[in-house]
Amino acid sequence: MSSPAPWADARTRIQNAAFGIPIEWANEPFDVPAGVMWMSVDAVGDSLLPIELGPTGTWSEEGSLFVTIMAPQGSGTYEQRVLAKSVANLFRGIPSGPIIYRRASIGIGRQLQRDGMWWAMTVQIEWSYTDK
Amino acid sequence: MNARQAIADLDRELAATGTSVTLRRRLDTAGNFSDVVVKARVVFESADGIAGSSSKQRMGRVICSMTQIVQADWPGANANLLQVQRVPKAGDIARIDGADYTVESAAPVMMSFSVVRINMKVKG
Repeated sequence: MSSPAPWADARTRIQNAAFGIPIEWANEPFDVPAGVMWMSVDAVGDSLLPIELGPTGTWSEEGSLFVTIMAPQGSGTYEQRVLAKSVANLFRGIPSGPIIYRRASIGIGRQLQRDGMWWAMTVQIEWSYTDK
Repeated sequence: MNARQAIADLDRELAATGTSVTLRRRLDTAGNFSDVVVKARVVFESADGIAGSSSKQRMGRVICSMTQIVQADWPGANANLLQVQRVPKAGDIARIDGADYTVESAAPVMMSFSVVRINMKVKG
């Protein structure tokens, strides 16, 4: 899990983008729809470490946002790739602030596989968060 | 017991206690399917997570015979298909009580060169 600030920032950006498909947020009630695309969102902090000394020194947190886009099995991947790119684009060109989005991956370097009724394509967005 | 008796026994049992299941072979990505309705025994037994999500899918076992599949010439008109080539395969869809499940595996049970039973695992 990540600290709350990066999670809240990413969540707001995704909600404001209004992709028009059901969204599963980590540990919130969700009913998997039938036969339509949906996405699952979670954020994970890899490390929290001090970059200034002292009890009030700044800390830096590095982590990733994971947005997994589910398409019904057998429906192809084109629409899924379009949506994955839109998700990645959402975090491009954002002015520097406490949260910086660094780079993204569509598919995290893995080939995909059918999983029951779904075909999952994960977009990973790496972020760093400076906690002053 | 010979193959014909084994098939008849299974069909009788499924007719009495089975559930109607629609087997669907996807023909393209536009949503066209070849369908056949079979009588089957369906047992759901566990759930498994969806990769990248905290939601789960049901997993179950489906048992059916070849009788309705052969009668319907499923999955398509091709007189040269062997029975064993008509057995559902991984990626086919089993529609059970209105909900769709993916066939994860389908194992034919053979007796004297006849398929007397199909054991499937489904997930969805």
